[in-house]
Amino acid sequence: MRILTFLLTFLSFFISFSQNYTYSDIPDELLVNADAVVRLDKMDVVVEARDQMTVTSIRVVTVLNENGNRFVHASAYYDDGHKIGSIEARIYDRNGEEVKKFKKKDFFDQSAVGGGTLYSDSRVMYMRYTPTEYPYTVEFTDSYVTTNTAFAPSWNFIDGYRVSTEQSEFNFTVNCGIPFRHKNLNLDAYSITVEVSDSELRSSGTNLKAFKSEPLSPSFQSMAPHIKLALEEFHLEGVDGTAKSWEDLGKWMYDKLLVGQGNLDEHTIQKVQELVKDLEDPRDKVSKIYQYVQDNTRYISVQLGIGGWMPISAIEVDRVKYGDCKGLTNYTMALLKAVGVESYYTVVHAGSRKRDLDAEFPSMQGNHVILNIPLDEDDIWLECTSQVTPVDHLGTFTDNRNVLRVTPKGGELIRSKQYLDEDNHQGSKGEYVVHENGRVTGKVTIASTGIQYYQKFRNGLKSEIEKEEYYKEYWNYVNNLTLGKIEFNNDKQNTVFVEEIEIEADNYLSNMDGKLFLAPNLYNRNLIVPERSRSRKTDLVISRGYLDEDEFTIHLPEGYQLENLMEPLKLETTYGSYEISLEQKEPGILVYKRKLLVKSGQYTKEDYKPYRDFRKQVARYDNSRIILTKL
Amino acid sequence: MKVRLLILLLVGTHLTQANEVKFGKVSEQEVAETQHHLEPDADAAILYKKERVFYNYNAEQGWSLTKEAHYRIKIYNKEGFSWATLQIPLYASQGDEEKIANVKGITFNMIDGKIVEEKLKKDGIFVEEVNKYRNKASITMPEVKEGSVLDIEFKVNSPLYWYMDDFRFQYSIPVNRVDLRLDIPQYFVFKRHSKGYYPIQFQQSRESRSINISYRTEDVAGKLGKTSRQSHNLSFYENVYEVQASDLPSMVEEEYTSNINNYRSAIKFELASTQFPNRPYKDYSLTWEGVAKSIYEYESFGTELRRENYYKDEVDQIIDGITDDREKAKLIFEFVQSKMNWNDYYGVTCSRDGIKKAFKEGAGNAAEINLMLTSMFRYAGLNANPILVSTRSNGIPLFPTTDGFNYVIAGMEVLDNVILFDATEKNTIPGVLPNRALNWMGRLVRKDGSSSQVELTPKKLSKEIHYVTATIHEDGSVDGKTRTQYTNQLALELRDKLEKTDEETYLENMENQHGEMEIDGYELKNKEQLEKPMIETCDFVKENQCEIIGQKIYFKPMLFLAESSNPFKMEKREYPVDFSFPRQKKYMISLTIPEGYKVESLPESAVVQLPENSGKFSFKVLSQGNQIRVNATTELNSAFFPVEYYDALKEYYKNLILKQSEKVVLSKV
Repeated sequence: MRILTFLLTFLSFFISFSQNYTYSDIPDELLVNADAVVRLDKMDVVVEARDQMTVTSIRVVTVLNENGNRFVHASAYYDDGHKIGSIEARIYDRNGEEVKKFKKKDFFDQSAVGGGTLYSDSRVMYMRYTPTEYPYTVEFTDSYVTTNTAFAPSWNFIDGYRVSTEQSEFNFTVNCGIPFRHKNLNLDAYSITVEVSDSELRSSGTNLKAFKSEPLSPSFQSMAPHIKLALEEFHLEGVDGTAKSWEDLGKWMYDKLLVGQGNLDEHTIQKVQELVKDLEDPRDKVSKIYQYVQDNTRYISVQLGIGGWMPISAIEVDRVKYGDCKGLTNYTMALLKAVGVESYYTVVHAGSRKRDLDAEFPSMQGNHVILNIPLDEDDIWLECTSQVTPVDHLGTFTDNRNVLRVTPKGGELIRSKQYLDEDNHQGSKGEYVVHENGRVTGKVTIASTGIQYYQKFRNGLKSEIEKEEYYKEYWNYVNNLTLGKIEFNNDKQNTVFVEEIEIEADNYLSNMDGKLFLAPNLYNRNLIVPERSRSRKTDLVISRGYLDEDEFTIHLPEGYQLENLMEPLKLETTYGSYEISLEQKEPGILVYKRKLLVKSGQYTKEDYKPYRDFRKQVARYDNSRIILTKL
Repeated sequence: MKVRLLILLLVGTHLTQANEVKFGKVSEQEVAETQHHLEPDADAAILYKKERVFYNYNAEQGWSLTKEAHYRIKIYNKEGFSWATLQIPLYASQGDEEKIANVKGITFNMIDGKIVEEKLKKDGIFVEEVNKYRNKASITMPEVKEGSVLDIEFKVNSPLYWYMDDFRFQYSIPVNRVDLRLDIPQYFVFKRHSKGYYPIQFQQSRESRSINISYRTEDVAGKLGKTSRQSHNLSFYENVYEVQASDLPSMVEEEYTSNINNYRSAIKFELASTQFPNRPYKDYSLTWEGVAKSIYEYESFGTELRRENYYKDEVDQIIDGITDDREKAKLIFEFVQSKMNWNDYYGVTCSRDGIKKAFKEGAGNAAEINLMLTSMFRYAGLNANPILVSTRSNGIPLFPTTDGFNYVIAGMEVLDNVILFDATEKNTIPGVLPNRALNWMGRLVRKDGSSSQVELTPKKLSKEIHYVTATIHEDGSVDGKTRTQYTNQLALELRDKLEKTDEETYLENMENQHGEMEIDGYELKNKEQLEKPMIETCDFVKENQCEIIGQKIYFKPMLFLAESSNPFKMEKREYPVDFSFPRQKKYMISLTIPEGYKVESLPESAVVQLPENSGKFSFKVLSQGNQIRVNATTELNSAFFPVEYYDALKEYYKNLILKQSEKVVLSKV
């Protein structure tokens, strides 16, 4: 036996000795579009018990230039339930010679409280190293043991844009008989093998080329090869759970994380019942309660142990009047229950880039919680962390994606509120007077709904200086702009945000040989043209559409007339349409009308160029000018 | 007589009471208020901020500091909710650390016309170990709503008796009243500096204090090993500094401001000297000379600077046979620049690992790299000295303090001139520093510890010269060639940019920046020859450069190079404008017009000047046959414009843009 151990040690020693990280060994194809090359990324996960998982990894990265440093990942997170075993790093030069070694004590220890969170017990150990030359190679090995098996590691064969992978190996072993599920995503186009048995998954991939990021493309996640994994029975910070289906997982969340957290004291119950006593319609009750929550609470995030997944109790929130998304959502749910309105805690993956919870792959997913209130005709959605958002308004943070509604009966995967292209509307109605010296003075009223509401309604909260900055940026194509009175009307009932702004601009018109050049579109030019995308490889994605409709009345200076009337124009494309016209209403008064519709959708890569051409034309016509001549 | 005295006393106490703000005692008016009386826009305000600082002595631990703080914060609206959370940095230094204690808090709300209180409990207080240098306490208040008044009180105990954080009086929200008092034993002499737009007035007085000190002593001979406890009374006086200020307006950041904290009012206390009983007087810093001298005397500065052994052999080889001083300097600079890699840490002194290790590993902080460079210069017989610098992020060093400096560069004296060197970056050359170091004045320290000021803002103009040859086409498109030359700081900026992006992305950005331009045949010259100007050449095609209206073609003579947006859009400005370095842009453009067209009109020549010759724009367009020639120059001779010049600057840009927007008109022959 002793001999065998000796042999094994010797063997492993031999193997690690024979590693060769010479730069020149990297296949050329892996250097294309890459800032770093992952030479080896290997992880072994062993689930010993429902609450014990050991993870051992080795990661070797050759960094080609300064931008590649972000792929080294020589760091390890830890907390009470997640303990680092070994951790070590070695640095090699371009010839594969070792130049430096980091032992555990050489890693820098720091709290890992992220932005937006006030406190958590998460910490990180990371390597502080200043590269002395490029390329160089980092070999990072670490191991950890965790009690939390709810998040079985999923495996990415490619780490992001501008990094390639030479060798990737992932082995997942369950030694305690718990069934697990896996899902392969986007593996077909690569040399990746996956072998699966009841207790094991072994996968490996070689020579995976780097992705280049392209504008208006699908998310990296939806294109890159990866494997998702989930245990059907798991453990999370002291709580056991199961996840065979979304229904199961939701049931577990309800039973273990929510039940008992929704109690309120009698006094508060009476108070809110008093608030709604004259209201019949559940919609009105929801509005009243939401208003109460918005007026009385604020967002403060503290994540400790199970508190990362379980909301703090409604009683606690009621006392301190703050909480994170879980706490505030659960609190609102409790208050609604007190007034007889049923609502559901709903898990979502938030972010302006839409991301679905995977319908085919139930597992712990999502990073945020919102509230869903099913009513007969339609659902109402509440974002409980905001003090200013109107009832039933989700905005780009959580709109239109698969979310998990947690009910006493179990989880249900449903779609969050969707905004159609035309729902995201902006109507500008304006008037302006043109003076002979090139100056214009006028006033415009802009009404926005849908996503355009979401993008604007916070303008009302801006200080005078911020408003000045905002509108000078909004109309940055108008030089010498002076702003007059600015007024807002935030109609939360109908979710319409109305801005009324007076403006003046010197030298808006240019004068040449006694002729005045006037760009009639003073108030709403859309000059954004997507970047040129050489040899496009990915689909075109327009994630949200919108519709702008504008009408401006223009008063010409005394004694001037239009040299030639602008021909009405209409562009019709797959991606949207654009219409402009200019009419003389009566002598000296012109009416400019404009309509721009951009349609959301996923299009082919061949569509990118025509879409860009469409936007180029829009920008061009929005800038176009007419000539005024003196009578 | 007795009666009068009593009355006087009563009045006296009454007055002080009216003035005193007591924790937990808020007025109805404070809670009821819905808007700040001076800044109705404010989201929140600091109604009152009190800080008391005093010293303690204990025979085992020696001196320590206590800071007591009381904040009263008013929340006007939901945007102000972030002020309901206070974050207090706590410093740690080699095992000693500041500790927070006695945290108390009460939230006051007006409910149905009555003031309702809610106390802060333990679950609203967090202390986090950020890393070995720093901890952080966070306090978040309960029951916060629009209108809440928050009273927060805490103590910070610190064994770091020589260190006091700045006392800040101005924030991004208005401050109604500040009350600061420090009681400092005679043994410590602190230098006090106030900065910011609102000058802070001190009141200084003296009070006596005595403390009882008990300690163990060994018997005089020290042979019997006996100890006994003794105590004695130490009497001394304390310097009392008091500051009372009221109605300090809010201050927020603007564009082209180097560092807002240059302008916010604050007081800094820096230890200047100590004079303990039976100990020699020790001077830390008082004047810039003193600061420089004391930094020079640090082992991590002066001693490290004098080490030579670790590089001798290599430097000997490099300068072997070279006699010209400038050539020697250049070779040594290039050696350090290529060997050493900056670890992104500033620092006026070397790290604990020392300069030798930095050299061995090829990586170090700014002090290590540039002290090494200075040392090598000296070793090679050059007249070189280190220069202490405050980076832009550290603010302008308005008064002498040791932490007024946070960076080091090297300077070589040649005749009347000092050439500046910074080897932390790969693309700098002698005389060209990275942007972070271009901040006002540096302090050159000589071998004997004497020092003098050195201007860091370069005097030489950094130039960008555009040569364009292009042809205008009948369909409104333009094609041609450009050649652009960049020097000094502008060349450095471009080299750095090109290092961070690959060429393709850089070109895409350039195309997008100019609208619908397409670029071909891009070439770069002198990318590696840092001493030479960077030269970019390329061919371009741009559609829709010209407007075609009726039978005529209209275009800006500077084409896509014409500035179109005024960088100064705001009506008013509070702070000076800082461009980092003086610069010049020159344009030499020649255009060929399409056949069958003639020039109908050209923009008139013009010259626009900024006051006191600090800037100038000139513009000239000529035509001959089918050729148009444009000559334009914009020049900012000064990098720094006081706020009084804002209107002039704005007007200057307005005119510059108007001029550059004027069009050439071509009509059919």
